[in-house]
Amino acid sequence: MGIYAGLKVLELADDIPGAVAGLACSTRGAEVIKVEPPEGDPLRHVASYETGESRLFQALNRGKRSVVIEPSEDGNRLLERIARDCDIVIASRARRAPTFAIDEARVREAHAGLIYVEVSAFGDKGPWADRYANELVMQAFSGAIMAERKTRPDGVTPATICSTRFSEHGAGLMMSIGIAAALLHRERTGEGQRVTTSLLHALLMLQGGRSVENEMADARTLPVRQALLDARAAGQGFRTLIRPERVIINPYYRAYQTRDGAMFVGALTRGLRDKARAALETDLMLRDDPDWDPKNPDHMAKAAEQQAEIERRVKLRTTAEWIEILEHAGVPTGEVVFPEDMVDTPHVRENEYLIDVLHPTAGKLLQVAPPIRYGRWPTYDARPSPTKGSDTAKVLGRY
Amino acid sequence: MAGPLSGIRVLEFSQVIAAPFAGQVLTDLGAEVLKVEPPEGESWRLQASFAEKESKAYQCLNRGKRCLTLHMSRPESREIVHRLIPDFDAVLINYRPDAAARFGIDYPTLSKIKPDLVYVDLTAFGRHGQWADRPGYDGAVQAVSGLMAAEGKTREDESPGTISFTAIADYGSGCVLADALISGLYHRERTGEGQMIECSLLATALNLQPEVVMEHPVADSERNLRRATRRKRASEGAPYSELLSIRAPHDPSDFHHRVYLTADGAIVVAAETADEIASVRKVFALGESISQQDIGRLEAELELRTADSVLQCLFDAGIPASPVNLTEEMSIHPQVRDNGWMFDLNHPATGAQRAIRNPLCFSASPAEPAGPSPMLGQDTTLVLSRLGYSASEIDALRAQGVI
Repeated sequence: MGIYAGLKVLELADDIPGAVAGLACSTRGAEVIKVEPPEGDPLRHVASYETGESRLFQALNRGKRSVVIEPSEDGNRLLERIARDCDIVIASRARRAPTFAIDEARVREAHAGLIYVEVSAFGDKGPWADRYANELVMQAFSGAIMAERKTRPDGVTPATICSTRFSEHGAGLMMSIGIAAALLHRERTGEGQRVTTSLLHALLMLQGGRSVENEMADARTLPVRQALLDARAAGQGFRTLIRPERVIINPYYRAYQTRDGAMFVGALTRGLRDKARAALETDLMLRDDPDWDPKNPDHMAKAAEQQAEIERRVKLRTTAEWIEILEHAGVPTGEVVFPEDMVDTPHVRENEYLIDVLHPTAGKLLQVAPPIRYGRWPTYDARPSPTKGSDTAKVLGRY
Repeated sequence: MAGPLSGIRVLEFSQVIAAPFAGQVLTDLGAEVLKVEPPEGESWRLQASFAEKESKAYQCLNRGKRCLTLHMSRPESREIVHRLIPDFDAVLINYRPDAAARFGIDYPTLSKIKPDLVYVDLTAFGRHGQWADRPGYDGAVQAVSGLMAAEGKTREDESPGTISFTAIADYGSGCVLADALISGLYHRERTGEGQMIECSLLATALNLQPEVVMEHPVADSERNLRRATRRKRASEGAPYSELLSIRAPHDPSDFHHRVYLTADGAIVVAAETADEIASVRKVFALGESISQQDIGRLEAELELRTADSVLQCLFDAGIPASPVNLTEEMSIHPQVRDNGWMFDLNHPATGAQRAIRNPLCFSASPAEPAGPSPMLGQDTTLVLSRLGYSASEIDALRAQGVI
């Protein structure tokens, strides 16, 4: 059951954005039919622990049905028959040429209410329109890697972002918004439609102020950008192009090592910074002092010294002690937890952010629950990801 | 009909990034969003402001909204919100966990006035458990959710470094909130029912790394060993950087999936499948066993070639690859320009902007982005007079610091 109960979704996409969008539908109670080629969906083979089963596939395909179809013209015609009976088709041409492709216009002739959602890598136009991309390509192309400023052990070559596949997830979340909005529109007007998005556009939007221009706010940075572009056009090497790291001292919004671990101080506003100063027993005012000048080397040296003193002092107490001090002072804070330790984090269990899922071959998995709790459906019936082709006969029998 | 959300009215109690971003997505899709701000302005207006009560961060998260200022802890403000609510379809809120009840704008109170209200609530850590009352921003949630440790950045003093390319828990949650609100409206359209919908930065952060956070009885043996070693060393007082390298040792065999420097910029080689990795070996003339010397030679050789020539070889071999761009150059990049993703906008106080369109394109209900972000309190008088407040009553509220 759920907010999409009764809806049918045909998932032709074979990548993470499509799987994320399909997962949102399946966790809301829609019937999601995932179509796989005989060798299985590519995500089954990403760091698989046995043939055709991987953590990634199992995490992103919960509750879906799996139908195996030989990629062919006949297969596509069959899929068009299924699509005529579905509310939503999820498609992708982001990661590779589509394995399965239906003629959307032909389906729509018989089924005007169809919602067809498709993601591309770089959009419909432009020199890169026909290229495919994965997460790492998009991190590089969109500028996220440069913005992250992480380097490989040589200290110069940029390192990749590895905590999350944010462009693929972001595009998947966007597709899910598109589906919800198209469903609302259809409910109000009876009209179906085509909804498109792209990894690049999504990741640019999700980088907020860095991807947009603001003449007055950017007065100082726009000339810097031009100088960088000119230098690159002149063939200057990367080593000369990277800007020297601008030292930013902000002891009130960062993590610290404690005596037995690490914790985060999250004072983002003036009022919270005052509270953090009291809790950390420092009078380092920085920008809250009208005379503070980050370009003055004396100011910076003194601030760096005071920050180092805070670092030393934080190390003298345990994480639990600091959390108590900061909470008492009303400063946002939190322990630095490793992702593999969520299972032992009582708060996560008490919120039911991890749920038991019984997988037909892997057994009892502990998986991440959906991020949305609908008041009308306080409980969530977690079903496992399908084994390859487990629903082929049942689903195809209907068509 | 312009935009799939045209005619939908949303009352937004928001600050910083997550809920403002969600509200902006809603205005992009045609909804009418009224943002409530304290009379001094919400904190993101004041953070890194470049003009009176205006910051770039605020301006690019609040496009197209209207703005009503209210001092929420005043009873007069509660009265105003309660009189407004019947005209709204949905509420979006990301205040501190206890604020809604304190201000009398919680779901139980507002749904008594408007039973079919869709009420979308964002907290940092969720409404249950030991951290339920904690306020929190993106950084604290990065820390608690595992994202920060998974990214593995360290500062000079070896403390954990914050993920900085964007506020991932905040922006991810903005998407989740918009999805929650619109799907809630869909349900209301079908059944007439409203509801309270709960989201949290933490739940979003966990959903951004589901394959990492999940526990798996069959696939976890190596991971469990690492975890046991890491915990043992942590209990012995090992520094954070050592714990990181126990969790995820640097992989020297990542030749197919990394950044390389070339003569005129950096590029990424992004092979993932076995076929793609085999192609990288061929293009880079690497054998089956690859030594550090081989990698050193390859790096030196690539630094003598142009990015374009290396990329062309990779593309010809079907290998995913890309130049490493700067986000700041994307607004003038041909790929972005040809797709028409940027548009010009004029802010009444601070002038010209190039903003980014919503990444969703709807064939039957295309939406055009609404105008710039609102000036602080620009719609207060209009909203109150429509509610029936007289000019003198409005002046009195202003004099008392309510609006």
